[in-house]
Amino acid sequence: MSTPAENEASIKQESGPSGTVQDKPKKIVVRTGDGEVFELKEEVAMEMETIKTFFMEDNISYETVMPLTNVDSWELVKVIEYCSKYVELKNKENFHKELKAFQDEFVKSMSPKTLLSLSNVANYLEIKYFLDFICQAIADHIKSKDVEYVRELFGVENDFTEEEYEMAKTEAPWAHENLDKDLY
Amino acid sequence: MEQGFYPKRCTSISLAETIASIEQVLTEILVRVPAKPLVRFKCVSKHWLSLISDPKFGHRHTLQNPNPPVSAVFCEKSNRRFCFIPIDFDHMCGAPSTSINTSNHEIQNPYPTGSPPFNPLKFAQNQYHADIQVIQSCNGLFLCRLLYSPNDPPYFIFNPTTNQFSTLIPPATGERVQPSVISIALAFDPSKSPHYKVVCLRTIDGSKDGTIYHIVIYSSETQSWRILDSSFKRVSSILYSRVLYWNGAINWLGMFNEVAYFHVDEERDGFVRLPPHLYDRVTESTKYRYFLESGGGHQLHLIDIFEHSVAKFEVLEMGKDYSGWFVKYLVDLDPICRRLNPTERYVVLFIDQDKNEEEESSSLLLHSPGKLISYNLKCGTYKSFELTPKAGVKDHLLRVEPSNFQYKESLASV
Repeated sequence: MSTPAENEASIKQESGPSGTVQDKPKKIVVRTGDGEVFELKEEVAMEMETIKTFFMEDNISYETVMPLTNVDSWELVKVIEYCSKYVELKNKENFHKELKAFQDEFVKSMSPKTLLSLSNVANYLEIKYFLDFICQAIADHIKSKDVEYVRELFGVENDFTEEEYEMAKTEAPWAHENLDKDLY
Repeated sequence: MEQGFYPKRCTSISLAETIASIEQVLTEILVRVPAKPLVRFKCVSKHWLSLISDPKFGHRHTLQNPNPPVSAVFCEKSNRRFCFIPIDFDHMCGAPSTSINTSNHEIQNPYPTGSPPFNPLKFAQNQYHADIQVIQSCNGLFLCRLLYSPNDPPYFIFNPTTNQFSTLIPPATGERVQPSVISIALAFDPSKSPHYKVVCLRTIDGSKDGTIYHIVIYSSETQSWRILDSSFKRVSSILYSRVLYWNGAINWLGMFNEVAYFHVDEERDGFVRLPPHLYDRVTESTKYRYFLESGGGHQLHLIDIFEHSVAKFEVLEMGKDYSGWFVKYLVDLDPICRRLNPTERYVVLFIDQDKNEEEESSSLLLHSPGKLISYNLKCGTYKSFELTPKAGVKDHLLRVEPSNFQYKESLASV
């Protein structure tokens, strides 16, 4: 496993004294909670407010490896995938149409629980459009599901007594009809 | 590899911050869930119950979901019973018909459970132990009147989705004479504000037929009434019972299709006259007249169905600047009318703005005994859906009255 010192050294070599920095796109290096190190393109990294603030606020050099302790490597892979695509499509003519197609594929490739994990990551990294997208995808998924399913998915305990639950349910029994019969 | 919504490992961020951040994400998810599932999710846990029931959450949800689809239609029957027609295209099977000769396919029962559709207005009726009359529905909220109940306050606002209601008592004038209410109307635009206003027109001299009226306005934000200084002249041809909220104003329809309106925020009134050459047409015997706001309050429509031509009619739309009625659609319901028995009729429910990605198409929703029909206003094709009876309930056979109200699910506070 590489140490911060080694990382900094390898980066220093890239931006050498011969001044070839401007030819290479700038990279930002982060380390996830499970110890993996990622090199991000600057334009992608700057989509994440948390990273942007970290470097911009105190003018920290890009040679520093930013720790992202709350993010797992697989989560960061997914985030990078989405943000890179978003940046790529941003200025295109068919932006909305192509983004929608990409979004549909993106959601299909993941289970509901992984979407939930990503929602927390999106919030932590402060990527507004990604958070909006993930939350909408989760909302669309759960709107036709019953109470049991939602509890399982979110890992929530039922702290109602039998009576309390029945009372809450009878307030609007029509809301509990016509649901998907999915088991989680 | 997968971890749950609530992370199990300790991080460098404090526990309180983590909890706050999860709460924030949960709120972001739930605010995007429609109202009906949210009512159901109140049963998930006490925490979810408290989150969803929080008025601040309700306000935010209302603002972010200003235009929910129409999920049912209420209409009043004789004996003060309410007919409740659920509109649930996802769970209904339909037979698309594009030409006159298409046969009706066998439709499966879309409601496999045997229970009858629950009527949300029942809650209000049970609450008051009195008959209620719906005056107006506006974006999820209902303005209702209590009948034959002199000791209770006469009006109330009701949200059938949350079972919340709020009584309205128009203020006394301090004079000897009791003001007489000509009209009362609800103004609620969830795309602008989670609060609503109620506008009440009353005669000053105490008589029902008084020609001068004044206006009192209730604001749910301040929970108080204001009496406007100016007085207004009553227009005799205006039917103050036909009222709709559209374009930021309360609109009343007149006998000759003129429109009187009162812009609620700007507190000014206006009048739209019918061009003289159209007066002749209107005095023809109208069998039914529908005054509708559609597409989430974006358009105001008028439909006159004449005795001599029940299957063909025009849909008129009001210009946004009150420039007058113009013909927006021509409708030919001949194939539908042919299928009706002599004693049956169709009733217009509402106009639905269907926003597909590619194009916007509007459909006219109709009810005929046992069926819901969606008529595409652009191309004239239609789809009909069977309303399968639930055990012991003959709702689908009930005749829907032309005076009907849209029910939209909303978490709006009353």
